[in-house]
Amino acid sequence: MVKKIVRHDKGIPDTRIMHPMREWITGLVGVAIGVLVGSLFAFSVYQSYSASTTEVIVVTETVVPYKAALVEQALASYLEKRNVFEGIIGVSKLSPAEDVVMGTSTPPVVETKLATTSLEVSPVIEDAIDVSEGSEEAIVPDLAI
Amino acid sequence: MKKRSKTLLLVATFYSLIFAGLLVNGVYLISAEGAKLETTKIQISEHTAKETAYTKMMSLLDSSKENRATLEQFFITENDTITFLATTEAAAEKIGVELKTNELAVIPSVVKDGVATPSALAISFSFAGSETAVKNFLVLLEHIPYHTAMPKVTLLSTASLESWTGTAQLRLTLRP
Repeated sequence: MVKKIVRHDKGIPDTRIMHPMREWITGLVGVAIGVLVGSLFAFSVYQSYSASTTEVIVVTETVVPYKAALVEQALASYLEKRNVFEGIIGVSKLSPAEDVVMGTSTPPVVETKLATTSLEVSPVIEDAIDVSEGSEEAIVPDLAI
Repeated sequence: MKKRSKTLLLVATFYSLIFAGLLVNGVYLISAEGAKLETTKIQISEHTAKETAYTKMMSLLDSSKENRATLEQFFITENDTITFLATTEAAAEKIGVELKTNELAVIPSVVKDGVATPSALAISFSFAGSETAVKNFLVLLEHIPYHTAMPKVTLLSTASLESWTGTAQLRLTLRP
């Protein structure tokens, strides 16, 4: 083996610059690597954009809160208050818009309603007002709605 | 190296550079188009969400139109102030109470800590009459058909309980 190596070293040096077979094989390998890398890149890009087109973007939606039940409750409460108020004062002076719609300012029915309206103090107010003789006290009822 | 080999090397290098440039440009174009696609997707999603919100809002506005119109009647305006006072004074006279308006002022809207307090109409009454009349007048004040707060009520009766006097402060929320 040593003899072979020594003999090889003493051989005639290869002075050729071009080795067609070697260059050809190198070229083929380079192209193969390029095609492989390119294919992998193209596949990854394809996968990425395929997923991107089917992906659903979740956008935070701003919802305006509207509590319909609360509005209905408030309307019922205020309509009742207005009925009581108008019953006490006898005429619908505080709702001119409705007067226009109805076409009358003081319907005779209101007078009948006045005659039958009870002016009793509500228990809530009576409980809140506890006035002793000759004394003055501040009452702060929670009447805010 | 022969002249022909040099020429071939130069031509090969030139084409390799052109090919590499085209390749890099292609990759860049793909990335740019991809980024554009992502931006467009987000814009479409936001637009769709806005359209949905708009449709819901319009539907809500349409369905609540009647209720909102009715609710508006329960907020007093500055133009209604005189009518309200005249009505209250007439009602007090009918009930049998002597009524005096001590204060009538507009409290401007205040924004504190990001919470806006709407402007309000401050009214202070003092009234006098029999026990029943005064209590009935309080019932009237309690049932004022406007968004109202009554922060203070005071009552004073004589020793014989025949004559009662009182004061009441009202805060009526003004419709802007």
